[in-house]
Amino acid sequence: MKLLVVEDSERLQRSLFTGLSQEGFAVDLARTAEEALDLVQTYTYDVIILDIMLPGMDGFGFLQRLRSQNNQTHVLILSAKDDVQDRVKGLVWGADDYLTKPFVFGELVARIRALLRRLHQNKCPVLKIGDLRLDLALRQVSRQGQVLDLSAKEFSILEYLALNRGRVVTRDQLADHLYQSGCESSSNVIDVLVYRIRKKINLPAEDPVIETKRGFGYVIA
Amino acid sequence: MSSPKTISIRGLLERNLLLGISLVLIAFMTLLGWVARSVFQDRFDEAVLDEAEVLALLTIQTDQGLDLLFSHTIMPEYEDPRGPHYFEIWGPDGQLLERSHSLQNRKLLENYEYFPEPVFTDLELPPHGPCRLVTLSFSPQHDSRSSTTENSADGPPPSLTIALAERREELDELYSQTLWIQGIALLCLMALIFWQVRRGLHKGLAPLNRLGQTLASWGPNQLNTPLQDPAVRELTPIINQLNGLLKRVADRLENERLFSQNVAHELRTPIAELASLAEVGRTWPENRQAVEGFFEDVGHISQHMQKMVANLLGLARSESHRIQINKEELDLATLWDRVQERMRLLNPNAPAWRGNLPAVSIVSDESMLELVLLNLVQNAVAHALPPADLAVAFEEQDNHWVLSLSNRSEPFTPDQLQDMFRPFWRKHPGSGDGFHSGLGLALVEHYCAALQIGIEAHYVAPTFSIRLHMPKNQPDQ
Repeated sequence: MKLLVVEDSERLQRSLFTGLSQEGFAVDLARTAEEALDLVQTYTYDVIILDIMLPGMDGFGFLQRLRSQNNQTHVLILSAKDDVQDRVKGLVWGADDYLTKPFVFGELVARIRALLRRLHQNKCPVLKIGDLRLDLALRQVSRQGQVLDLSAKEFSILEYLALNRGRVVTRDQLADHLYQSGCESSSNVIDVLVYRIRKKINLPAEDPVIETKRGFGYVIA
Repeated sequence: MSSPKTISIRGLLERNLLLGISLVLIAFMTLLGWVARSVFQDRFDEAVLDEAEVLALLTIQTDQGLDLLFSHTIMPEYEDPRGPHYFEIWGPDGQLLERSHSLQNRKLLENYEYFPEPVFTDLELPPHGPCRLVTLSFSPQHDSRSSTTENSADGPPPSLTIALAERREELDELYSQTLWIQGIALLCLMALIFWQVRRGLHKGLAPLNRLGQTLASWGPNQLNTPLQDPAVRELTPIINQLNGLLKRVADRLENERLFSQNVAHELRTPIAELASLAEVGRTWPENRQAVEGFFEDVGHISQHMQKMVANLLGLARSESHRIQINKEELDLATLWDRVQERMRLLNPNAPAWRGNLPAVSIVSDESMLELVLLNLVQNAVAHALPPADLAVAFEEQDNHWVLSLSNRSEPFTPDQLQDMFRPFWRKHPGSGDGFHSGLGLALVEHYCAALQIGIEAHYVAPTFSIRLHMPKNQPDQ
């Protein structure tokens, strides 16, 4: 899942980047609303985490511009402004959630995940593919009651494919949602990761959960 | 320490009004009593005198001597020893010519005296009490039937003196009744006036009481609601003053509220940073490089917060006039060199300043002025647009010196130039860089005020400048 963090505090950017990356998100950073607008025109994000008080154009201005471009990306406002008026204004102008600073990192992650579930119209945090269970809250995969050991990146690929079940996902799409923008990754990296996932989740006698569509990408049927 | 004695306007007015009105009433009643007594006395005296004159008229001088025409008439009022009438008629030779039976063995006069005018006196005539006595000398009438030619040639008949007394019990009783009536009237009037004064004061002071009750129930949230004018001429100026005071208090409270809000807001970001760094660092401690960077960030955040707290304390001390000012003679050029030196230590890459300050001697607090200049220099370096074009200038104007620090900058509106000295003001609201607390210029303004230095901000594209107006001879404090 790819996130854009629009925050002018470099220190907060650093901790958010580290924490969210560790949670398996691909994170892009922007210090100003103008920089963020450039990024959203180039890349697709699952969730934008937006500060309100930014140098130059503020977060509300960014939100207005984003929605006027018909961009439907989920936006979570993360701001020190805790007035009801500000919260109402943010939500009315198109934000999907509002969290005030100081915040608990775990809550931020939970809210991001809730927005992601909403994005994929999936209210249940547990996805089932046959006897394979993906617990999106615990970041855990199990099969026949046995927990499987997947790395964060592996889990992210499986999660993305599962959330887009029935649709073919290209290698570029997977790379785009797995790595931060500007980070070059070859398609081989994706293939290697998919290979590892298959190795961990497939049972020898059964059909593979992830199918390869030659020339296109991967799909979970 | 004893608290000042509380006075009551109502009590004071009541006491003074009642005392004043009572005194006037008593004086009036006394005068009325005196007038009534005089009138009654005069009437009584007139009656007594009339009686005496009647007796005098009935005293006739004949050839044979005096003929008292009434001596053969029965006059019961002169018969009874209890009175009420008594008389004596004295001849000029000291002979008592006639006296009423009512006198028995008592006397009205001891001897003959001549009284050209009637004289009234009070007389105690035991055992029947006080009497009113009139004494009058008169010449008896001649009997027209007698041949008095020879006698009349001898001159006027001799003057007799009549003393006539009448018991005055009725008069005294009338006095006494009048006094009682006056006393009762006085008490009734005083009771009426007391009631009226109290009622009048209660009604008159009711708007004041209502105002007091309203103010007693006034809370901090109602400070922006002006007090209603009760349409009482005397209270209108007080209400206006109170409304002005309430507005000033409300503004002050609003400023304090805003200030607290700003402080809380300024602390939110560093606290959020600390919380986030701590949580992420604790969750993934194996990422050593990141965790080391987090610790460095925590150090910077604590420095920033420490600076903010120090500035807040400085502001609070300045606002409560608790800054110790030690004025001494300073060399401005030396001070400027020291500021430059400190700036180089803080930021070795800071651009150099154009211009210099002359070796002028001024009287000021060295450490405070150094802090002011350092703050302004830091601001200029931090916010200048490249090329920074930092310049310092000094000139003499009338009776003061003007020190000017300028740099290239983004444009400023006149409002921004005024507002920049307010705590936590930032040109761009979201531009908290984590290093500047937004309190520097507010502190500079407070320190300048304490040092009696005027401070102004100007912008003439593309240059922003701060000017300090320093009096040449600052008085010692």
